[in-house]
Amino acid sequence: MRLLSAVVATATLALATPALAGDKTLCVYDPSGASGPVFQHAEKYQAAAAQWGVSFDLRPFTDEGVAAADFRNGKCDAALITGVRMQQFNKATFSLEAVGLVPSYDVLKSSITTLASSKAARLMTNGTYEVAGIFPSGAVYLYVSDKSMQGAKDLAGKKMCTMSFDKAANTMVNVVGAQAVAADISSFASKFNNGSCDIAYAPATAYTPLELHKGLGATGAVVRYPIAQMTLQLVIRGDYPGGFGQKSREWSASQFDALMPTLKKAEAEVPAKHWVDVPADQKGGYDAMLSDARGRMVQDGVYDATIVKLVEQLANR
Amino acid sequence: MSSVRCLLVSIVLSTGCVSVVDKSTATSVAPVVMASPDVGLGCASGEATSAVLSTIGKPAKGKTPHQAQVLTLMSAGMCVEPLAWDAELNRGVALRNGEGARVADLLEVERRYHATAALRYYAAWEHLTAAWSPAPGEGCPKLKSSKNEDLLYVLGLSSGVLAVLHDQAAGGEVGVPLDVPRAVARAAACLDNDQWWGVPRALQAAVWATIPGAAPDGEDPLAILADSAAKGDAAHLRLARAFQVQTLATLGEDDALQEAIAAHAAALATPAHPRFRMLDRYAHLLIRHESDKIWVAEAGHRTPGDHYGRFPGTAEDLDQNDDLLDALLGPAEPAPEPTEDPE
Repeated sequence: MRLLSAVVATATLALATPALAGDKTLCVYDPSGASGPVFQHAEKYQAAAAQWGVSFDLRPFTDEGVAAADFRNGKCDAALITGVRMQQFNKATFSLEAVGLVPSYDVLKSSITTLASSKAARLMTNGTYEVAGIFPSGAVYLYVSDKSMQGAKDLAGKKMCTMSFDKAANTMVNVVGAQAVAADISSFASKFNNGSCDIAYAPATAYTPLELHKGLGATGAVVRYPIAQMTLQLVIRGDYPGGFGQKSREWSASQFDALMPTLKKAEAEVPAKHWVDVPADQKGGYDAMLSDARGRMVQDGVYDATIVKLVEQLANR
Repeated sequence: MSSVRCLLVSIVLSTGCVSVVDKSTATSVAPVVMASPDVGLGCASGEATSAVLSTIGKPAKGKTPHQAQVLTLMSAGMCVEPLAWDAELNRGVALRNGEGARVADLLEVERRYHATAALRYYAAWEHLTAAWSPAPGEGCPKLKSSKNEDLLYVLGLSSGVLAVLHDQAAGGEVGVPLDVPRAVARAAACLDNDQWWGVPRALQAAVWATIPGAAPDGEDPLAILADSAAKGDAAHLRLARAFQVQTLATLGEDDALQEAIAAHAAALATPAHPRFRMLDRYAHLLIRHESDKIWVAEAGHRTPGDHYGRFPGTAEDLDQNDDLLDALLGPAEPAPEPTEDPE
């Protein structure tokens, strides 16, 4: 027992020494740079990691592609990016954003919590990459320029702003028979607002800062049906203290409830007049459409079958 | 003199004279405050008078000296901002020293100060929206230059941007609406860019650079910020430079950030515009904070006073004038071989 105490004390002393595990660079994607909410969240993570003996230097990126590339090329020791960019680093966690897979924040929470379990650790590692945290970033909704586009079949033939790097969205466009209009994060709002697109998709957090009410006008609507869940994912590579990734995932999962008020507040900021519910008789159409698109992408190897099955089971609990 | 008397009377009686208080603040108080380089004094004045001003008129009906409150509340915001900066810099030092728990503690301290700063700047913004019609971004109000209304408008717009920045840093605790920056960018077009030292265009560009897709076609935010900063330098009022520096720091444009700070350090050789020393000093504090962040991260301490405009790790080029030394002294003698110490 005394020996155990001595080992614990030694380990504690080792953790308490001023020298951290060494400066590491965490590249953070935030469309608003260091003044945005993702960067502020990264500062909280930085403070937590400092207590685990790792000192992160935070670097803001307003271009997510550059942040991901810098991480891939070894310029960053860690990256905080959206799940849609994670395909190249971890197909399993990327699949958490599969279309129609996560119908609610409750299911998202149980999914993130389950994936933070030590039993799921092997799913978090892919070669030299390790996912060290997953955070909610908002349910993705369809913004339509005409309220009549409530059902899945109403989307056929309509112009949909689609991020070119987002394979899932492009597949979904094909499934519903819409017409993809290439866009990126800098252009989709202006294209929707000026009528170049009939449909855009984004979390509610985009509504106020990007003034999407302009594109909705008097006739448009936000369809209250999460077509996917946007997440932020922390991926690391290189030398970290033993158990760092697991500790980091557990901490990240513990932040879920603290992050929800911001997301729910953004949803509350969308005026009630703009929200429309999918008619009960058409909800099955959406479910089938997204399930079909998801199934195709599992077959094509885009999504990880294990994660999709796991989350589907969690959703049915 | 009568307006000053009315100001005093109205403060004592807490009644009436709203327009006179506005005018007195803009034409009598603001010039005195703005001419002083003592930001602390200006901010303390704002803290002290804001609550009193809010009792004048019929506050319940929204009739208070809104214009005066733009000035006092923005000044009051400046009191809290340095406290947040200090916590941030101390957090950087703690991070370097491996003091994990202290990093978390200082982050929380910092957030609380940011929230207070956001509260004050947002209040200044709300008074701006109440003082003039149409609302910012919805059109241009008729601003009376003789009453310094355009100065207050510039300050109010700056407060709007600062409110959002501080609230974001506070985790959105105050709830400053995120459409304020775009309203500021539109409203800034109502002001004469040359008259206001490049600040209106700098405000626009700062917003455009940090909101995806906000920049109109053909506008290059970083180029506008550079032009605006040069305009401010030439006018000896370097607030636009501060917006440029903050934006570059936000975007992680490290090289351009250091160049902009160095340019500001060089510009300080020229004294500030005598009528607006406080704004110029405030700009200096904003820029110095960004310099301090670099120094703390690299060297573990704030910018040494005699190193402002320079950065750690950029050693002087000691060899750059060796040709002159060679010509005067001849080639350097080789270093002597080390000799063993005698037993």
